[in-house]
Amino acid sequence: MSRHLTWAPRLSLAAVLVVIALWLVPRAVSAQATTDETLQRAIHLYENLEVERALTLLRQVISPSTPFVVSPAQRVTAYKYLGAAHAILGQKDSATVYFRAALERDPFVDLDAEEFTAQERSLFELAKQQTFAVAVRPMVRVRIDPRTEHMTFVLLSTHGALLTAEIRDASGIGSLIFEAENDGVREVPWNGILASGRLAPPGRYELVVRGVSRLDSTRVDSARLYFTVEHDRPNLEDTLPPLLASDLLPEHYPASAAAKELAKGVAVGVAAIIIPEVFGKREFSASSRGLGATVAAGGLAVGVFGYRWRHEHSAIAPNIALNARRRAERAATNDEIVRRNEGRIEETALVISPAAGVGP
Amino acid sequence: MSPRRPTVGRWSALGAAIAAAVALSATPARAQITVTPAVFVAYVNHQVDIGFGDERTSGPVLGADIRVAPTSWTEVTITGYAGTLTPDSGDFDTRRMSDIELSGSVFATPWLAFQLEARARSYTTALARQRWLSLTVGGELREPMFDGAVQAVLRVGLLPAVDVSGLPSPNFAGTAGAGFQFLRAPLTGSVIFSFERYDFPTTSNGPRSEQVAMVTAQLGVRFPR
Repeated sequence: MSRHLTWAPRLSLAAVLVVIALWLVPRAVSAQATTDETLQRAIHLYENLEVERALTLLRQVISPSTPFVVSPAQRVTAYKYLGAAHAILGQKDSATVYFRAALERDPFVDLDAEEFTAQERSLFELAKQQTFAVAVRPMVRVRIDPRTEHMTFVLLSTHGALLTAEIRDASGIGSLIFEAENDGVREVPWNGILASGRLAPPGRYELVVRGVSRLDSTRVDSARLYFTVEHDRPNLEDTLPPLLASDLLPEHYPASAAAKELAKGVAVGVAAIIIPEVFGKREFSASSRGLGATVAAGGLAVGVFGYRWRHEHSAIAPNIALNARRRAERAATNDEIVRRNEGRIEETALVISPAAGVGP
Repeated sequence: MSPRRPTVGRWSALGAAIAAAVALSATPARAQITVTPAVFVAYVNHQVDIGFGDERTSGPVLGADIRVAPTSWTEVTITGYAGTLTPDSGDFDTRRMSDIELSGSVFATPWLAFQLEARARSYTTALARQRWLSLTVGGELREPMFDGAVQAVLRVGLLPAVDVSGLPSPNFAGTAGAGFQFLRAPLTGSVIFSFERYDFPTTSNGPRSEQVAMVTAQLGVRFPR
């Protein structure tokens, strides 16, 4: 019973929120929809040559006092049809003003020859001559194989201009990808290669488009497009580290090795001396000791010679050869890894995506 | 019931054991068999004391041996030498010394070998011949020097079975040696000082001791080269 009592206020609050949401959402949608409906009605009237009525609706759309939300695209459309309507009415100056307003907001705006008359398009062309703007069309994410494919930047100048397009990396180093006379829309291909001749490394870039009007060289304009470049390729292998001393066999005998050589020779010499002394019968004469002494002297001589020889020949040739073989094998393995990595790098694809922001 | 018959039986058993060891060791790795024939010259000093002082004879002997290594850890050597020993002083007889040996070595490590050796030796004078048969059990250390071109050699052994014609078996018989072996393929060589001591039990003729000291210089060729 008490649980029902606890849940009741919560359900009431949720119901109130739902009602508020249902009340607010249609209003926001309807505001946008109303502008769109107004535009569609205006265009319909324009197409039915009810130009004055169409002008009224179009002026409502661009009016600062309109209560509805007007998107930039809707505003451009409104200006375009305002210019066309005025052109039909023979009001060339007004038509040109509206067309220029549309062009200034979206240089890519155009009049379709199937929908607009030659007179309208003529005035639109006049507006383009009077307006100078360059633009670059927003890009979509693309993936290209730089060996065989390219992406396309779409540039535009509203009338004849010297147009340059340059890609700048984060450090500001630029690579010119286009420089030519242009009038209208221009597709500029780019295969991901920078002016250095190398593949664009991953990072953030900026496409800077600059134009100088051929009608009035004092009129210049520029546009920017930001994008990122990523490398899409199989993971690279790490080369093996150089062999450390702990991975290799000692290549030289320690200093104690010479002493050991001496000790062995001396041990033989001492043994040859003491064998007849310790092992022999005391009653016998020392003639056997004489034979032992001969070998003892030889043992000492061999020991001393071995001591000096080891000092002069401290290298351990088999170990040196084995280490050299290990190093060669390691180098060959690394060369193979580098070759495999180079193959993978050659297969690198570029993923070029639009980026937000104000600069690289 | 001659007391020497059991000794002869021991020699036969020893020979059979060495032959079996060689055959077994050779079977698994015939490709590694090396054969080293060699000649050597030695200077021998033979001393005998039968209670009347040091009876010493000495002289050079010439010999040859052939060493077969069926594997890297076994060796079998047959050695023979002979020479005339002349008395250094006094009125002793010149005697001819002849010796033939068969020894087998098994290496427990590259530097330690255990040896078993059978030997037949004779001393011949104008009046008589004395025959020695013995069995030696011992060990040998071989320490490499000069990156293996030389080996320092120390050896020691006991002779648990010694049979001397006309004499009782010695109470104690031992041998020791020291020297160097050389290998500069295919040549091999060695300079070894070896020493033997025999203490016989005192008989009605009195105490008897003998010892043999020898310095050997050997040169051989190893096959395959």
